[in-house]
Amino acid sequence: MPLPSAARLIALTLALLCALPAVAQDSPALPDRIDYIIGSKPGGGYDRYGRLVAKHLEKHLDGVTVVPVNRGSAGGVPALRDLKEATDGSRIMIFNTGILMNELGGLGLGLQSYRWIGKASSEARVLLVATDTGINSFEGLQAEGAGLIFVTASHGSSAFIQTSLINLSFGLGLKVVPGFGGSEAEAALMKGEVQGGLVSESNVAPLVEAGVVVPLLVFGESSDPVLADVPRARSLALEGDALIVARAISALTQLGRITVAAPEIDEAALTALREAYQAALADLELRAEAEAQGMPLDPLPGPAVDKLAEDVLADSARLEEMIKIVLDR
Amino acid sequence: MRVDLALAATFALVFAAALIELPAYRWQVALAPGLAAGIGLALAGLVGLAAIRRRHAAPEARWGTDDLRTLLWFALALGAVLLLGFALGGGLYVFAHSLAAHPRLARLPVAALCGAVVPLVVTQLFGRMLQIELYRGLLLGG
Amino acid sequence: MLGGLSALLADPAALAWLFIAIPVGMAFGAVPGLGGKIALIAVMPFIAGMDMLAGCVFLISLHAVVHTGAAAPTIMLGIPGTGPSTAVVADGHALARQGQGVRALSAAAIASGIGGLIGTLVLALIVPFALGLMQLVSYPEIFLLTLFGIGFSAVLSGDSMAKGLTVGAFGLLIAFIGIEPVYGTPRFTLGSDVLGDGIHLVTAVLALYAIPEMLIAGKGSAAAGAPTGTRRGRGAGQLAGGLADVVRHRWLTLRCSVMGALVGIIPGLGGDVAAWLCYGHAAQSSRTPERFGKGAVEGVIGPEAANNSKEGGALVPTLFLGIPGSSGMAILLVALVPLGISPGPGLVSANSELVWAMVWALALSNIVAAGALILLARPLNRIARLKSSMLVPYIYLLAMASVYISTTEWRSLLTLAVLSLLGYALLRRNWPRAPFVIGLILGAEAEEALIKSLSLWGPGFLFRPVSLLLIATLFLSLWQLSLRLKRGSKAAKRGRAHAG
Repeated sequence: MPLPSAARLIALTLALLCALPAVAQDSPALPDRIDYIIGSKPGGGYDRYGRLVAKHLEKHLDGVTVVPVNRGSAGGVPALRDLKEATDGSRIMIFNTGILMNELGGLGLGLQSYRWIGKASSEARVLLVATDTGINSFEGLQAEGAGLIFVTASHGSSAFIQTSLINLSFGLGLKVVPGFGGSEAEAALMKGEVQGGLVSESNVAPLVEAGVVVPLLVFGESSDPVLADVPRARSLALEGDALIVARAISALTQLGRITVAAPEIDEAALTALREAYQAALADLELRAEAEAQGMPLDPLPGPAVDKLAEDVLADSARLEEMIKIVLDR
Repeated sequence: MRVDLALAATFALVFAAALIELPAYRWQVALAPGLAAGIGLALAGLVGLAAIRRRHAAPEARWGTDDLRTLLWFALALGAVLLLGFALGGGLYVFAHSLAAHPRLARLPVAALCGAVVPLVVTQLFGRMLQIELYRGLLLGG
Repeated sequence: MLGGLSALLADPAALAWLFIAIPVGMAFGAVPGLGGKIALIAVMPFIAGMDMLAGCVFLISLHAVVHTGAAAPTIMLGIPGTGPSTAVVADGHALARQGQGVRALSAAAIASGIGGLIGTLVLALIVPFALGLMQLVSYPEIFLLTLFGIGFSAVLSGDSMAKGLTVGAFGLLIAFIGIEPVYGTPRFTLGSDVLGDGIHLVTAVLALYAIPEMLIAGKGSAAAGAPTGTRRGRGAGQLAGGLADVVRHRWLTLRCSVMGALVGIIPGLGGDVAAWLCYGHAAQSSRTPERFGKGAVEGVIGPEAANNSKEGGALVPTLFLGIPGSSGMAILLVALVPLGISPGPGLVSANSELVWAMVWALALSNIVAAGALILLARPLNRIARLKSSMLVPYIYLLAMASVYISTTEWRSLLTLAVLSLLGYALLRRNWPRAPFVIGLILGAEAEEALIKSLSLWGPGFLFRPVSLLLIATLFLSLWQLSLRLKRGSKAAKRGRAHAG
């Protein structure tokens, strides 16, 4: 007898729905759900930082649910483009720093106009090579690195652009293969399928301790003991293209894990987000979790990031030219 | 076999269109779709030839007003949801469908009850409990 | 090993959380569009501050039973609860429409339970060899595995292999729609940003299965609409029938469970691939592959076993290497860290008891979930027995809602409409539909693996030892298959000659 049982089902549904609790509403400047877009595949550094920040951001925004959403395809560029629509602050995004360089290469996103909410870290970049190549110094790589396979994240990512720029300006002759996002590059290095890469400092220690790789050169500042004896890029005597590239990469390392909002975001929403971001990054719980997971922190609030980003995006004709070459546009 | 032929032709057309677009891409981007579309085009050609050879359609395979009506009902559901959203459009659609399609339910109160379940589920179960906001419809402001 | 079991049993809080996790996880599976990832994200706020053992047990159990719950809407309504359960729609829902929904659900539940157990066993046995195994399997092998899957689609094509392969190639091509993930090149998007995100699996499967079936159901005269086919056996008889089905196909259940666990171990291959590979394997090893898609119970048992066993396999790289095998596992990894766990090679030696408690929790939750689904099978069957003309509008709405939830984009509903028209034409003309879905699922994996293999090894990637083994197996099974098909068509000709 379908009808009575259907009626019973309907009655049950009605009863259930009436019993539901109401949800509290607060933070008038912001919508009650914010998507925290993570511009990378799950599992990598951006993902870990994104989820950590999202979780604690929620704590500092009353009545707002912050939901991490991975949109890593094409290095997150389409997601960043879509972000422009979220003028109510319903979407914010952590994205690969490489997009800043990509913008220099003629991406045309108009990144200068985006509003920065803050940055979470400064992370040095480490050029490393597989132990079984027998290479143990940057000079060694310059001498016999030709043909080695270095893998990076997708074609527009910072790792790809920076590795390719190093390859180009130092004349290394490496084969740079993109498409190894998330933790894939580390897995491929562990398995001995590839010979090297440019890796964030927080991912280096496990690889070095496993005896899989030798770190050759550090871009930016690092206090990691594993990297204590590794030469710094700024201490090399450089000139020409190599100097331009080493400077640019070192500057970019300061802009680690930036969170951004739409260019035309509502000012009240932006202020609320910036305050919550700063409070979240100062949160002792977040700091403890970051420390436990080996994620270095070096936060800066939105206005300070504005200044840094402006410097990086400032004109440099030769750098732009080189980026266009490596992106093959 | 006219529908078979039309299906094969549609597939062939899509494969061919894809192949035309490919030369603009770098090899890493073009290789896999090129293989799929190339093989697909050859196969669609085979299927189309076979369909031309066997010309007699089985009587039950003919398309009639029945097909048209059922497709129209689906189109109506789609239209209602796109214009008025899941809650209102969906509710109205279920109401209309119950009235028109089911003699036992073709009484206003029963049909109205069937329709009223929809907005309740959309707002309470999805909206409140699961915090998922379903589409509100083009006319009601997305 | 037994220390883990006693630790689990001695901790009433952990046990209680296990029993809370099971209905929650099953519910997240049963609502189309949600699934394991969203379940983990939704509970994350509650686990902070939980006891380490209780928290781990809760998360593992929650994620493990999602697919068991997903069987309910998949079989009863033809709407897949999660991505991997798309492989069960064709035959599971066909059985329900023949009045054998309880049998299909019971077979699904038992196969899931066994799959989960075997997956756990594989997890327990393989721990010492995990790193070595992962080193053997890399992009070339993944590429060849996907070729296997696409090759199987030939088997699923029933009477016309050419039609099946055409539809399969079309599925592959559809998989390539969208922004290419490595180079960011938009492919076949016609300049539209909706197509830029690609065509979502849920959209495609609903358009090819759920909607066309409902269009046919709504087609008959308005009053007609009782479930098609005869209702065979009463509920209790059908429950036993499901058990008998699994016992009869015990080797298939076993093989698919092991295959599922092994696919789970390979990072990058998700549950969808495991389920469809096993669906293909079930059809390929069947003596009557032509029944597939029309209500073959093996088409339920194979993928259901794989769905659950894959969970055990996927934990291997996640826990022991800290490399998540899928996006669901990545979220699990992130959720485990606040509990004080640091996944990686040192985990087993540092926390052996905890690891084994998690293994036992995985096994226990699978058994309990299977039992719960069996208990629920008969009440759930009432939904499938409602007059279809009453169900049709609700299913249209539910299907559209799951598309909207999965894509959060209203224009995806237009994609659903266009593909539904195609699905309806294919169904009316009796063209195979499964190869389309297999192509769509394997397309992205196949492309990524092919391009990476070529970039790292050049065309020589085909000569790696495991690759050679796989190629030999592929040719052998295709050869065997063509023999069987030849025999089948001869028998059919004889039958026609008799009739004429």
